[in-house]
Amino acid sequence: MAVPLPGDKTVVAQNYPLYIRSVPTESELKFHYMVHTSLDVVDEKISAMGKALVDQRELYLGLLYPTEDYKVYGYVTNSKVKFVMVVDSSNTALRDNEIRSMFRKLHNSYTDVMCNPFYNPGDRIQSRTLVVLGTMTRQKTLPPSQGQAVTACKWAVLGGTWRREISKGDSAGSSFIFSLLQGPTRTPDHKGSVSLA
Amino acid sequence: MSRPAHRRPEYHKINKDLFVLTYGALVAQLCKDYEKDEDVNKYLDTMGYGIGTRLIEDFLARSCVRRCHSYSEITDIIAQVAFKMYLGITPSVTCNNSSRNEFSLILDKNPLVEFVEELPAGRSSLCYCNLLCGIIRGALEMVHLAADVTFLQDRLKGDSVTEIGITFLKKLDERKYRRKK
Repeated sequence: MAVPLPGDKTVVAQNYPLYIRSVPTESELKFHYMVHTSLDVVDEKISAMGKALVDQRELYLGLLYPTEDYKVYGYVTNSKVKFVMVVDSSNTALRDNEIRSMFRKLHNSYTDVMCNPFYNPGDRIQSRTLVVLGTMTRQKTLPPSQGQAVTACKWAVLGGTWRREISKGDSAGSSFIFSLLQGPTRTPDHKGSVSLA
Repeated sequence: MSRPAHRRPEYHKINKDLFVLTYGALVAQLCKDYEKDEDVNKYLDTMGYGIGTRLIEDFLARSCVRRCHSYSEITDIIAQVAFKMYLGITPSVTCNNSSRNEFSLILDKNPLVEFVEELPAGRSSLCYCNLLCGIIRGALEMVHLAADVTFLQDRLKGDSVTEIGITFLKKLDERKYRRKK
């Protein structure tokens, strides 16, 4: 097990993922790829901010780029940890402030994970309570012949408390992927490969 | 009994998060230093003992508790006055046996484990808050009460509540009292 030396503070732009979660779980590789490509856009936005004062509003980067299927939103903290969210384009009910509040909750849960004394910064996150934060899963539209109402489930796990809001809404299927990507850090002491939660 | 001297009447408040993170760092460092859980528990208890022997003087100076006549009174004071003063919580007290020397403090909310979701893998028998047990044991010993303090249940290990068991052993200077009779 590599132990970092006390004076070892080399800053390396790592950008390796700390936590990835997608709902539903098919085509996960595609989401991984999208998240990685969106990193460039995130870096561009950060550098564009330049010397501007970074307050809470500017932590949220907004829509990074829209593709025909998906929209990608970004959020970066002052410690250069990046959060990327990929949402279905067909989901028109998601408003900007909802995304903002989801990012804020995600940020809060992330700080709770960081405060865990047994968690080393730079490790993959295995926290059970960070499992699903603001994911939105909707069941695909069922054919009308089946006569079932389509329900949309919105799950949010904030530090262990589950909050579930069910609303009957539009029929579009949508999915989410969350990624937490670590920015420049000190050389990490990888304690072996730890699987995702 | 004379009134205790006015001792630092104002509480110097610090941020609770700082305290919780400091305790967490202490336990994490102990876990890195010692391989076995029993060693970590033992050292936490020893450290707590050192704190307890000193804390009891501070506690007696700050609170105007009267002389106790029974073990249950002592346990009540520990739960309602001491825990409230130092941790801000009030555990509930239950008596475990008929000979009235085994008690339990049931903590429904433990501020020390606020950020710890679960014990790390391979540390399943770690008593995270064993410092508290040592503190209680050290404090009681300084008022000449030998006691055995352990964790009976722990939320971090999967139980429903956190329970600290205090077993009062024979008084240390009982022989001295007997002579007077």
